[in-house]
Amino acid sequence: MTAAVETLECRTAVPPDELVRARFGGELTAATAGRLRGLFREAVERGDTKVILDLQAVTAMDACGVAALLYGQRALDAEGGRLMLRANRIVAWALKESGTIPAFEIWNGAGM
Amino acid sequence: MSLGEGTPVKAPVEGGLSAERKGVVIAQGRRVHLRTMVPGDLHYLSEWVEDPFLERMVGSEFLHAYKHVYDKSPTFYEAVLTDPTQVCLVIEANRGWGRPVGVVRLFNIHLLEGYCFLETILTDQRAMRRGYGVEAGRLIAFYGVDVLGLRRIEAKVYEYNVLSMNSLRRNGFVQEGVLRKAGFDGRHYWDVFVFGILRDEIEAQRAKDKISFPFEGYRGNVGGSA
Repeated sequence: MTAAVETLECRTAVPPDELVRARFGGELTAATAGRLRGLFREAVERGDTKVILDLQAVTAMDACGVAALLYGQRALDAEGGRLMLRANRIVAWALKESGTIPAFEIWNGAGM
Repeated sequence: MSLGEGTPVKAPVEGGLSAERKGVVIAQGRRVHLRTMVPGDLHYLSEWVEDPFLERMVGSEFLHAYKHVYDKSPTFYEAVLTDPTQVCLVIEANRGWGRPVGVVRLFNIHLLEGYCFLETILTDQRAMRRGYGVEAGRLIAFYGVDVLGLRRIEAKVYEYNVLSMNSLRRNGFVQEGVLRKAGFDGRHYWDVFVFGILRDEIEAQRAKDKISFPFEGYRGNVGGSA
């Protein structure tokens, strides 16, 4: 798990100002992933298509959680937007293990 | 914050999973529903891993791992719940059963490529004859397409497990090949049949049954998958 985090690159030093800040904490699993999808849908409906999502407080993440992030990434991208993630070790490990980390823009700079 | 908050941040316990976890119904069919695992399900797993019939018919790596890798440790629950390459759901009969009838899971999930493998473990032979496994497989296939964005699901069956092969065929799976003598039960080598189904074939099955995903409350996956 540690190795996964160590290989996670900081791809962007500072989140651009135009990004909408959001957070999701607790378990991001089959039981909760639908909630995150709903938040993405609402954001798209409002026109908030450039989002930085703080996942520092996520305590568990499974395939459904990863899929929800992919859903959000695709939904925002389809509207010409952008999704940037602020990942903790749990999230970084899940993205790496699922092979989806190349699909995301990761920011691990200072707090939001 | 315009996007809004996610779930409230709870104090992590027992390695990070919340103590309030309860099974959440993910998919609802006519005969069965699928819910998330809860720690108490390990009690049932402990029984199922000792069933020689299940071992012979399914040869599940999932059950094998619980018994032999985790030595029936409670940590198996957390490992399953935090595995980003699988979705494991418990099969509950809608009526007439006081306990779970099995487990269905999608594993080796490749989200970017859009494919995975299916395993259905039905633990009660009475349930097998009532089509519970067929419906459980159908529900999780719909879930895989709608929620995970999958475009292909694969399954493997021992050549002597005719019931499972029939279940897959009833759900629209197509036999794609045979892995000759790829299975070993300790005494004999057996062929393993490979089945697969594509997204449009799953969609064709959807019209045949009335199901719902009460928790997701929506259908479709913006952007699609690979």
